[in-house]
Amino acid sequence: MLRDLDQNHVEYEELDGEDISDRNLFLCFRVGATRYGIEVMYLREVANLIEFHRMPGMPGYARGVMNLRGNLIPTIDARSRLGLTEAGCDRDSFVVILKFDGKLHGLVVDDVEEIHEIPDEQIEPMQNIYSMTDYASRVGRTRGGEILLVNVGKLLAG
Amino acid sequence: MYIPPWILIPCVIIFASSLIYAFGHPCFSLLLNSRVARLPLARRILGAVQARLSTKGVRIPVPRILSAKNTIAVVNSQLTHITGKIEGSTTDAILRFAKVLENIEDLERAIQSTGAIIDDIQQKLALNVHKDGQGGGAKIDMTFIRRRYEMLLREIADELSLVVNRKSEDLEKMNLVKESVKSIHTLSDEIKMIARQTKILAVNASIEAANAGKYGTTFAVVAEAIRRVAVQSEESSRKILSQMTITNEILDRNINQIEEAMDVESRFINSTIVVLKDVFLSVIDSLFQLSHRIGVIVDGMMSETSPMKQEVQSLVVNLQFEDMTKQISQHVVTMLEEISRGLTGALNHSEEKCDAKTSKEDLFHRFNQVATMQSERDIAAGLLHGGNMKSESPEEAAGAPDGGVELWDDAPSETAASDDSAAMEMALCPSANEPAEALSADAAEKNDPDRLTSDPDADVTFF
Repeated sequence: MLRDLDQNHVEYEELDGEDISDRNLFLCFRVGATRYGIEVMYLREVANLIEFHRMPGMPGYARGVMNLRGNLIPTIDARSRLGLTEAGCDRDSFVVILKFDGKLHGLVVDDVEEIHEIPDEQIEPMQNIYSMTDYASRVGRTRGGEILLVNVGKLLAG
Repeated sequence: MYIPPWILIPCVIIFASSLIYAFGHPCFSLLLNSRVARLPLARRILGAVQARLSTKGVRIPVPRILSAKNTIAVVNSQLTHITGKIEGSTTDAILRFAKVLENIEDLERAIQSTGAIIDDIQQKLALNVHKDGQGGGAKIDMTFIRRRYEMLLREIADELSLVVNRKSEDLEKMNLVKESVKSIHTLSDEIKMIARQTKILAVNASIEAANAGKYGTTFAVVAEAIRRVAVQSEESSRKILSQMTITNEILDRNINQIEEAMDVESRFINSTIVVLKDVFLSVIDSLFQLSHRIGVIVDGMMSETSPMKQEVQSLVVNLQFEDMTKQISQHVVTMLEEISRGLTGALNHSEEKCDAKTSKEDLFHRFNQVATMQSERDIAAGLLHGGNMKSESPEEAAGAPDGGVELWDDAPSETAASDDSAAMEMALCPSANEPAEALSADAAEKNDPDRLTSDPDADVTFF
């Protein structure tokens, strides 16, 4: 059993990036009243909101740097990044830890729901009406409703 | 012709008597002293004849008769006066008796009202009346009742304050319940936190399962189960929170209501204590007032007894007046006896002359001696001095009997007539009359024997 666990652990380490993209798994989270989806291959974990240390020169949408089990993770606020002005409640908020381009990033969201598997035929590109499409260019249809699929590279890029 | 002696002798006697009668009474006197007069029947007949002869032969002097008539008139007027006084006093006594009866009825009514008031007091104090069992009746000791009421009031106030204290203790308990509810609220926060953590765990498990690919399929089932648990715990915590919130609100509301109710209750209890105090004190005051009223009624009864006493005293005075009347009647009887003697004396001393005026003065003098009361003397004086003027009128001088009748009214005239007739009867009986003895007895009573010898006419005039 221990061997199985070790094997899983090894495989967990090996599984990275694009290798698991064949299944179209999305973690559904909520910012304001809107539901968003983020690809599972970028996810590392979900954590409670803890203390942030704001660094000089950080952009406005950045919350600061958080210390998660010894790892200093820069974190941005999804509300600010997605253009929502009204402030949420930090007490109920979550931090989604992402790994993009070999680095860990934190994204503060209002709520996390569950992981949905959305087939390709249920995913549609969103019309390029607003600049919003840079962060979420596609829409996935689920039983609970439509979710905006976030473009992680654009979202985390400075 | 033989005539039997039992017819002849009476005829001879009758004839002889008629002859004697025809020739005057000196012969009759001889006959009376003869042997024939010793027979009872003859003596009786001769006595009657002598009386007839003396009546016819003797002439009574008019002034003496007038004097006697005046005496009778005085006596009659005295009797009239006394009769009137007796009637008046009797009527007055009856009226006073009626008044006394009314007073007694008032007294009875007052006593009845007193009884009603006492019943009222007993009804008011049906529970707390202090009865004196030995006396039989209900005696109310005011000081005792007042003390008892005050004691009761103090006990009630103590009990009510105890109730207030218990209520405040209940309020403290309610506050404890409120604090425990708040602690439960913090506990629900912990439950919420656990649910959140469970959710994070479930999501992370799902992420791990998804990242594991085909190897993480089985773990994905576990992750899904954890997620369901997380969802359920979240729902439960939400339900618990809502229920706790509702319960807390209800408790808050109840505690506030209880506080308000207790505030109202304590205020009500305080006011009740005050009201009870007032009521008890007013009851006690009414008791005192009732007792005062009873005292007033008793005083009224006492004051009503004083007029009754006065009535009784006046009745006693009336009785004394009756005694006085008796004395006057005795005087009148004495006077009537003297009248009879006077008339007898008039018959015996027919030749003597008497002046009407002097006899009146003498009569007045004698009345003053006999009468003990000033009213009698006044009446006699008024009558005799008034009659003095009338006696000089021609009718009185001629010896008319109507002259005396004018002195009294119709009602006493019967008494006067009867007295007059009695006096005449006594005067016409010479054997029963002893003028010399009567005069001597009178003189002995007055210790004036010289008067008898020096002025015998005065005695005859008086009687």
